Amino acid sequence: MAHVTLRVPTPLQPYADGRREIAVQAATVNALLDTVAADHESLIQRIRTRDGALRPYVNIFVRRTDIRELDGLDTELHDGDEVIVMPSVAGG
Amino acid sequence: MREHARAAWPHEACGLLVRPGPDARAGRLRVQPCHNLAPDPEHAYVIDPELFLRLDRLAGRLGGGVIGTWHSHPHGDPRPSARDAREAWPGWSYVIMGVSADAMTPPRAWWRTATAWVEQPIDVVACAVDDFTVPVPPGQE
Repeated sequence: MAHVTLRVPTPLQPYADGRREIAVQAATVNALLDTVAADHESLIQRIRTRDGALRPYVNIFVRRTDIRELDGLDTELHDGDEVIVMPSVAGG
Repeated sequence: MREHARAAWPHEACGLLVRPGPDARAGRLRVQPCHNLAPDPEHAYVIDPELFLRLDRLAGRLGGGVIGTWHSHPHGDPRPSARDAREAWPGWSYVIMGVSADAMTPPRAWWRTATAWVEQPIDVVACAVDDFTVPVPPGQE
């Protein structure tokens, strides 16, 4: 498993006990989210749907690339990777 | 904000509200204008995600963070739209200005709870607003 850091931007920090980053050991993005869900379930509920899909207004970047351009939630993680959750900031 | 909103009309102008330090009351609230990336900018705004991330990180290092957005409504009504409600983040502030071809309403500020909007006195939200330019990290110019 890889040692990685999950970066949490301000709109999501209230769901992560105010933390800006969480250190995790995980082999894939999905495994990372599963691990984080154990302590921060409400955070992960804002990232994944009940069916386990990535929510439409949320992007996740690994190695500066949107995981939708990689292998999605199955994207493999490497030691030192920074996983960034990027909520859409939008309105009308 | 006013100049940006006027220049963008009939499109929506948008930007971020940044608290550059840890003290929510003493710190100056700063304003970052952003390009509107929405495919339908007459009716919507989308903040550049990379700019948001960069700014959030920069402010975070100083103990602050992005606390909300501001945008204009080219139809002139400075109240949150249905789309604003759908995409708002609880705990954030949203400043809205109504703009028409030859007029502009005073900005109004709205705080989003989990289920509703609460209007904020504008002097609390937007006092001492100034521009906040974000240094571009090397290699990202």
